[in-house]
Amino acid sequence: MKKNAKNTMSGLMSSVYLIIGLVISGAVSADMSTYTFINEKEALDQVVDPKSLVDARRLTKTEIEEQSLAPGDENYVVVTFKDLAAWIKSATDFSPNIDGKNTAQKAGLERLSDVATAAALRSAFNEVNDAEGKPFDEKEMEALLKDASSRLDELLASSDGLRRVNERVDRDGIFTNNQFVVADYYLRISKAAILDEIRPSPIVLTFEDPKIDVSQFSSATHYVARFIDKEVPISATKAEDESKWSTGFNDAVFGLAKEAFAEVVAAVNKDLRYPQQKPAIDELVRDYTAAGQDKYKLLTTDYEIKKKEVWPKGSLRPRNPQDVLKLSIYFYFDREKIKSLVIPPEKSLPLEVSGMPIAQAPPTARSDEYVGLYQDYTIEVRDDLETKDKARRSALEKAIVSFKQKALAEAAEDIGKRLAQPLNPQEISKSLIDAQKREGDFIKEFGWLGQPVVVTRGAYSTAPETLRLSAYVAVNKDALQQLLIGDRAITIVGKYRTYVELFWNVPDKDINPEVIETLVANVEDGLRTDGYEVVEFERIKGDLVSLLKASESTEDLYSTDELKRFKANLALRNIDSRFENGKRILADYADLVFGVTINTLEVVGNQINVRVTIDATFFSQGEWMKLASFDKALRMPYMDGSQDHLIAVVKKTGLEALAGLTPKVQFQLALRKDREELNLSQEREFTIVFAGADKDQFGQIRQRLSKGTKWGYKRADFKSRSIYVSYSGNIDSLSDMVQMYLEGADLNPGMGEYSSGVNRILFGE
Amino acid sequence: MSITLTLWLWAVCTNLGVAQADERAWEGETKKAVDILLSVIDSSEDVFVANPWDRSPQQLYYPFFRKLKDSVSGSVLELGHRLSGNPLDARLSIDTDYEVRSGEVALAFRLVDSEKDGVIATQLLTLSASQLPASWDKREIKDLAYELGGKLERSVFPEQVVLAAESLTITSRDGLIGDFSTALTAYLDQEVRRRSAFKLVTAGMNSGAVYELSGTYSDLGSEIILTVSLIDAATSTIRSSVETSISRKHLPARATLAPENKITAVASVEPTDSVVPEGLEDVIDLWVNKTPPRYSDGDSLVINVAPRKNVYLRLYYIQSDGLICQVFPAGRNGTGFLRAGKTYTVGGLHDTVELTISDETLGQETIKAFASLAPIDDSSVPKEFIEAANMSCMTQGYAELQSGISRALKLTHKVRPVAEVKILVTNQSLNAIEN
Repeated sequence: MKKNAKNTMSGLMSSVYLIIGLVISGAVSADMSTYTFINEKEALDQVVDPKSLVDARRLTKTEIEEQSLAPGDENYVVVTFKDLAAWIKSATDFSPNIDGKNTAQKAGLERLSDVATAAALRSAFNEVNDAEGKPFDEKEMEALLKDASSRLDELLASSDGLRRVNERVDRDGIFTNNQFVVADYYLRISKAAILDEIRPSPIVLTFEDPKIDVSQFSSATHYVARFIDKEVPISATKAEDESKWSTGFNDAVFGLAKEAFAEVVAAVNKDLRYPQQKPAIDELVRDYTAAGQDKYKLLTTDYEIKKKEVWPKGSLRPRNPQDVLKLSIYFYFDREKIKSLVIPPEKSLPLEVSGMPIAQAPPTARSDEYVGLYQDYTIEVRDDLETKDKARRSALEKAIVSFKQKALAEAAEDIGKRLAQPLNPQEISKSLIDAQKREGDFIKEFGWLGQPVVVTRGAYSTAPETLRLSAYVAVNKDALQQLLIGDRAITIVGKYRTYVELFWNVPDKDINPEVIETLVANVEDGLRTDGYEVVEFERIKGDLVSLLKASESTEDLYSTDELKRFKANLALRNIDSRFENGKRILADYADLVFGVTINTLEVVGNQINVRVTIDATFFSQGEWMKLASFDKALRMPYMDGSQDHLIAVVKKTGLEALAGLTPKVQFQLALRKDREELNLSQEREFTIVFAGADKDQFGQIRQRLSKGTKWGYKRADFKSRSIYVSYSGNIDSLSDMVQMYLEGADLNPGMGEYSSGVNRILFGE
Repeated sequence: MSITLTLWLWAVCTNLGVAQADERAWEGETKKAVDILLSVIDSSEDVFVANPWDRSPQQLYYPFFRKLKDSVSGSVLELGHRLSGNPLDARLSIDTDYEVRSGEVALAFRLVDSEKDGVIATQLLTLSASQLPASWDKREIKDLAYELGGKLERSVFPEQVVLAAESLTITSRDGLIGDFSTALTAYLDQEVRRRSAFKLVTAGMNSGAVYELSGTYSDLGSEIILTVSLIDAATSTIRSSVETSISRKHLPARATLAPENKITAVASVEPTDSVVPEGLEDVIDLWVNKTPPRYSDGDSLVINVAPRKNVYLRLYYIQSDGLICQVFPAGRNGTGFLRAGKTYTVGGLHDTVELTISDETLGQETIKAFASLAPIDDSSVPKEFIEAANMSCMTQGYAELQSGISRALKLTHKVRPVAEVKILVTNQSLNAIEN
């Protein structure tokens, strides 16, 4: 903060009053040569130039110390004047002592102090300027002194900054009575303060710069190149105002714009997934910033100047030998714009695919063929192979394998949907791997739709090349379906006629027929959903009623009493238990029977306990064979008075049991084929019985059969007339062969009788 | 005097305050128990709250436990869970059972997780007499009916049985009816009608197995014991029986156990040694036009008969004062022949006789039906034809009638009616009994 001159002088006067007590009294006249006058007797108001005091007498070190004052040091410059004198208006009286009320003396002392302080300041500034290597010339020093003189208080040391000692009045003769005031001066001035004073303030330029709405920039989409307090030497023209720096300023801004452009190109490139290599970037920057090109200027028009200061020569530390432009400037770049410069454009090159058809349209799908279409697929070319061509071939092969895999999987799904049969995802995966290995059996045709192309960005781009491909794959659906069924990936349950029977095993009680009907209906629905062909009871009811008429009344089946009719029909459904040859009759209508048994249905305390067992039996080769069984129990709160709740609990139990059973059934059905094949391909032991043969005949038969080569003779049992042989194949062929073999030896056993499922052939009955 | 009055009022208010606090103590205890029970659940769940259940062999129903269930439900909601009306929709259910032990109630709350198929938390609570509201154990006649209906349903579970709609009769051990029995009949009728385990059919309209409900009660002084049986109408065998009891102190004063004409009515009760003639068991369905059979002055009585075979029938009406009249056939010369499969009404709109109840005498009255496969010559019955009424009546009592019919049918033993219906003539409405 600057202080005005009036305040400074008041402060000086205060100091003067304080040191009055130090004036040495008693001098009556002086040796005039020892004094340094600042004015003339005749012109009291005209004081000398302070510069003229350069040779004025100074206090010696001893004199300084006698006054208990500090000498000069590294922090302070001490300037003294000894016997500095000023003529005053003469008076009639003379006293060597200063009279504080004497205006002439007072005015003289004031003149003395003004000149002393100005001279001391000059001396101190010169000393510091000299010590700093004279950065300022005399003229500049004059300007600095002029400016600093008004701030004397800030330059003086806080203690003993200005001392005036040995004040007194003297005259040039005892009789002339021309009086003058004399004093010694001591000034202690801070070197740092002088350094601050002689370093000038920057000149803030005021001309217009572009206004930018910063809010339109964001880091995600834009890049900001920041130059803060960038110092650029600036030349000036001879103009008087700040326009003398205008050209230099523009040059500096464009210089930084070049740097900013190079920076943003490098930064955007670095952020790319596939950056360009350095030579490509260098070339780009060169191209845009080459002399005479200046294309970069078009991309660096968005900038904001935060600071523009010219620091005059010597105003910086270390001192600047010439004017320096200090610039803070932000350049804003649209990343996309720069990215478009950095990333070279894509080029599509046709890829040679000799030996593979290139069609314009895919083949038409047929019922026995699945055609998978894959259009505009992109596959990356690896960059770690020896040559680009090798890498492109490798990618192409990989794409072909993928398309074929995809087509096989889609075809399998299509087959599953069409058959609407249970699928086993794990088995499907295994089957598809097998199909890929033997793709010739399943892939009927593979071809490209249009010419495959390589998409590349040139040699310097690190972006991987890609292949752009469209292809079709024709799959033999029949062959694949056979494979899936053979591998048990699809279980064809729909080919089995399925019948649902319901039994209850709740002693001494009937079950509400509505409960039974709901349970049966839900189990049937569940099976239909799983793809089973459920036999409708109504379709076979007529036959069953006819059978029933032979033995008992069918009146209840058509009773007007709903409950009675309901119960009678439910009872009729249970063919197995209702008819003497239930199993036999069932076989006429169904291959698969799901027997639903309510084993428990009771209220215990406040809970309903329900247990439902469902078992599945399969009719094969004249026999019913149990496939699987599942048991489910539920315990639920009893709801008083609600049959609906009872029905809902039983239904839930039944469906959960069915959900547990069906996977087992599907697995077992899938295994049937294997077992049947096993029976034919593996050796089994058969018993051949010759019931009508006597002992001798049986002996001949045994002897003959023991020599047979189509079977392996094991042993014979005379008592039961049985011969045991091992044989690979079905029972029919064994029976025929044994018959022919014995007939060939004139042993006529008759025709063998056998039933499937039993390894026993009976001759001679 | 004013100070005394003020003090008295203060004392009354204070006592009321204390009493109110105790009245609700069970709710606080229940809430605490439910809070602890559900503390094992972290997230908000659907919870089903089952009806509390008496784990004692008697399996008695107290309406107080409905309030307790509401309190449990309230606590469930307060804890941020959702109440489910269907246990199949809820993962969790709270089962509550109780046992009454000399004035206190022992409760067990169980939290059942259907996915884990088991109890995941149990909380026991004993409510002392002081924590229970006054008369918490009060059971009204309709509560007995609710309990009996539930027990009957469980006894036939999981079956649906066919009930003869008008078959429900409840009498004392002596064969008498009163306000209590007719009120219970009315409530129990409602109960079986609302439960889908029972399919009610009108007599004569069902050809399959039909059951009848028959109940008796015994007065043990401080307690009334009730038994209701489900009887196969064709074989008269009991399918199942259920029991309950009610404290005498909780029985409404107007719910009389016996009719006003008890002494006269006893004379018309069927003796145990009478026998239904061979081949006539369950030969007819007999019912009247009101269920329960309570009649007041001016009510029309309509008697319905549905024979299963062609029969000759005599219907006798035994009045509360002991007078016995032959209401079918009316007039002088009717044979009483009825064809199988048809339903006949006596006293109906188009009948030759009109039967209107009067309150000159109150109490139990009985309609007895005697049947034969051949025409009945009942000249041996000491009856007189009353011209004004167009029917024959007698005053010698039921024993004489029974004896005369036995003779007419040439039976050596006492003939038992093939069916009978008891009605109560009263000047008290059903609603007034429990109020």
